[in-house]
Amino acid sequence: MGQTREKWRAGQVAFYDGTTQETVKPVSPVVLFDDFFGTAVNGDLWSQEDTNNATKAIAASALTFTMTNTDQIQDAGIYTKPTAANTSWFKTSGNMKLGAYTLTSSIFPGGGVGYVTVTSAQVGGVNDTMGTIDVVGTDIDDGAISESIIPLNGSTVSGLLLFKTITSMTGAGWARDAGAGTEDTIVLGCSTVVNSFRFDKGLIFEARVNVTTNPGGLAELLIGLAGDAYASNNQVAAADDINYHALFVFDGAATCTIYADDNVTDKNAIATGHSADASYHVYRIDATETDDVKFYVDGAGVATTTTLDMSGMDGDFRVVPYLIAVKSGGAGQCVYVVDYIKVWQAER
Amino acid sequence: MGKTRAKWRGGQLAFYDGTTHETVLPMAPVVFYDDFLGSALNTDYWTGINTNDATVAIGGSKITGHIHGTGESEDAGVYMNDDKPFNLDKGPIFECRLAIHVAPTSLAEIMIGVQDDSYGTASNRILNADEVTRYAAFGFYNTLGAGLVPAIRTDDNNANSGIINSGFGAVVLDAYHIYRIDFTDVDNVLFYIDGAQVAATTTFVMSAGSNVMVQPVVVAQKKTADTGLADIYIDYVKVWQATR
Repeated sequence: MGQTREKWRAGQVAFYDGTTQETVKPVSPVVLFDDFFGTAVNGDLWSQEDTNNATKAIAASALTFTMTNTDQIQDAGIYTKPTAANTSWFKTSGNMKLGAYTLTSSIFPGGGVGYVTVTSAQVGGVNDTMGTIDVVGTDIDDGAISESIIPLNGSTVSGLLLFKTITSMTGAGWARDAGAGTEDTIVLGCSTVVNSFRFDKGLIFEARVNVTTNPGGLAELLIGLAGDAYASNNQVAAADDINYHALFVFDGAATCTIYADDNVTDKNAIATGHSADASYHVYRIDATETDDVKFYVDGAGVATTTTLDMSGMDGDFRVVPYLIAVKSGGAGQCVYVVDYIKVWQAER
Repeated sequence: MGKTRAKWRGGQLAFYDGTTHETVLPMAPVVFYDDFLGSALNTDYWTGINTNDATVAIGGSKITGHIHGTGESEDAGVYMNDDKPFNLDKGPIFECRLAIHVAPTSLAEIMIGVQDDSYGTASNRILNADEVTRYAAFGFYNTLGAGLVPAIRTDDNNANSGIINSGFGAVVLDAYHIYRIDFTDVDNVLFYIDGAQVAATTTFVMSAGSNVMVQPVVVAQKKTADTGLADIYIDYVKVWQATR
């Protein structure tokens, strides 16, 4: 039985188990803790993936994810649900026009960052000349950015830039169809917004995980934080598919490495000296100082000679806890058990 | 209003209410706590039992379990989906605040505790019959104090304690009490009511087997054509465990 101990990090107290180093009770304003009791995962909070032959299961206060050796894309894991897409967040349906549209919000749902979407629909039987929707706003560093999105009749089109605020959206080059003489309609919104936890507010991630079958072949097991919207088959070792991430990675082997990318500096496969051994370990990532993010296994710092500067995610950038085994196909398997996930944040 | 106090058990810190002795915040690695807030039982965790005419309802931050006088088998209460996440070898502590609204009559009985068995509808009695293989629980039945004196019984499938009078005396209808079972030492399981140890002269042993997994069960029940009554109010259930 471990004895209760206390520690201070950035002026905040947390109680921990003196033997296992588990942070038992962080005394922070924002705390997520799921021990996965019960017979179902809280679907309001979590998204789970079990693509193709991959499986997920919950029992006895633990989640088990299994990636099979079958030659196919497989994702097996869990992350917190981002805010759902809202295609009419900025403007409900109205006629297309030249000039600035009146917007109902200048920020994204939950105050996070996101991509602008444009949905248009033909009216009158003949397409209008679409032109562009010119979006002006700021990015996560409060710098001015802009992009032009070309609407596509009958579809929702997403922009490519990640906005924090929207200053204006303006119709340019649009022309009403000459035949029917009616304006097509347009709706302005946002795609999935990742908004669970703010990276620069003293974020700490901790998970207790048992890798019972080591990743083999093309399988990658990712444990940590990610900032991109989830997409199937997103890899970080075989490919750099996730722009924003701080992860423990088991790349086709028992060996644990670190991958950290703030979309400014990309550091890959940093050795930790830790290997999976079919027993539980406590993995912690401490972003209290974003220019020196620290990684721990069972309470001991790993990769301590490498400075992981992730300050490119300063500003109002949001991340989610992210535990996924993934492969693009081919041979490769992995089985891991998640006992708990905790994320706490020193400030709101 | 009770003042916050701290206590240590096995080197672990817990905060408790100095008046009611409710364990407010255990600093244990594994902590389960349901105060039954809201308008629906969380079925991710719990199975609400209401066999035949029995009813189980949530409201006012409590669960109400009610068994009728109808001559039939009835169960009214909650158990943890037969998931059994707590390991007796890891030092779990069970705590439940409960009031008896209608004392059990005839062959009705009330169980407050944990069991290793999956819940058996119409076959989960521990006082009028011994139908569960491994359990540790408080109980109420008509034979002891007209259903108002808490009894204790444990069975680890090796040693059965038999029905032990807690010595607490009769509870008052609708008065809440806090029932705690401490498995820190499975060779000497301790029972408490409102923070005071009860049946202290009896050694309750739950050490048979290893890694025995249990679930909390709080239920009023009767079997076959019995016409007994019993109503319970369950305010909260907490279980915490010293190690994973």
